[in-house]
Amino acid sequence: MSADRHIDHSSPMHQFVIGRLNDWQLGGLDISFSKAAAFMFGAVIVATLFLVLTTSKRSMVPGRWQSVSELWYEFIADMIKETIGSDGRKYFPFVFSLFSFIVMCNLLGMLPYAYTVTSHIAVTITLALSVFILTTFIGITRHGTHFLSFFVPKGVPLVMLFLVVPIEVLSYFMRPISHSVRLFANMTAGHTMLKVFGAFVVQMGVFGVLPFALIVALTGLEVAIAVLQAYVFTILTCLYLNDAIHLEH
Amino acid sequence: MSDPQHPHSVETSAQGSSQGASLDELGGRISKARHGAGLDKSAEELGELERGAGADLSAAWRISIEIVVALVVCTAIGWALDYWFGTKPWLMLLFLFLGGAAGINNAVRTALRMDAQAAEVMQRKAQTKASTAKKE
Repeated sequence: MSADRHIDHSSPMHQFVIGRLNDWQLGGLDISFSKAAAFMFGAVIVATLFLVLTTSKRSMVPGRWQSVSELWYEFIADMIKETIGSDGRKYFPFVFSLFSFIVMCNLLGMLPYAYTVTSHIAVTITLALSVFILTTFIGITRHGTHFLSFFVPKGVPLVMLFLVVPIEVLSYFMRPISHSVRLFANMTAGHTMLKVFGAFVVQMGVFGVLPFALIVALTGLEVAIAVLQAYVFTILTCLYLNDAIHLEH
Repeated sequence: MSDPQHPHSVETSAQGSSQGASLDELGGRISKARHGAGLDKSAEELGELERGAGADLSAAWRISIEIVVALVVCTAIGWALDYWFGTKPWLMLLFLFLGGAAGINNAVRTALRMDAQAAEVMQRKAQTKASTAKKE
């Protein structure tokens, strides 16, 4: 992280520096509590508190806040039902937690002075790899060696298999990478763009009104993208789970 | 996460895969009842969200990233293997083409899925339109 410290404060990339909140060392390992860790804890705490507090009454006719929680719950439940079917019910807690964590990290990152956890590939690839390992594990435990037939498309001549199988295997292993890069690139690009236009506002003096108006629109777009990217990450998780459970492309 | 056992989503939180068949039957009955009551909007809502702000951009990202990532990562793998085995350009070239193929493979699959999803939403929309027209 030492290279990060050389980033100038006015740089649009400065917002992505992982600041330490204290300085803890354990056997030569840096285990300092960082800004990233703080925001991850924050996302978990906010999501948990919101869901627990709004559903604590469990009223028959939901109030305003309970409706939000129910919508949130049913959104994921419907997504699983439509992409996986009733076999996917078991994985609801995993998918729901994943969605809640990502959407909270993305939205907390939209607050002024906040830090966007999902703008770091280390975070998104950890999430994507956990999905990848889980789906592969499910595929192997459910289907045993039959899982390997996933890499052999039906109706392909034997000669072509020497070419097609490596391509299928490579495609499979590219999944966690594209899964994580998509979220990371969207968040990083959006937040950098906001900062760049913010610098224009300062530099252009009176004419800074124009980029300022654009920033207002872009901020709205960024909020939409924050939710949309969490949705995309989650629905791809569902699709990968479906592949592992039903062994079809 | 806590378990919000509110009465409105009892059908979705029902647990236990051992009674898969009866659950499927129950699910079918519930969706039929919801459809009859005009509550069958979830797929449409998902479609609306996808068509909202930045959705076209995100669709473009979704497909293009598949190609770029596969191409770049596979070429890097080929380069690394070349470095190990001392077969300078050959494995990189092989993996460049394999990566391109894998990228296109994933991109086409994503596009087909999005197509199928859009078709389903449109079909559902046509169905609800027809059923509301019948009621009136």
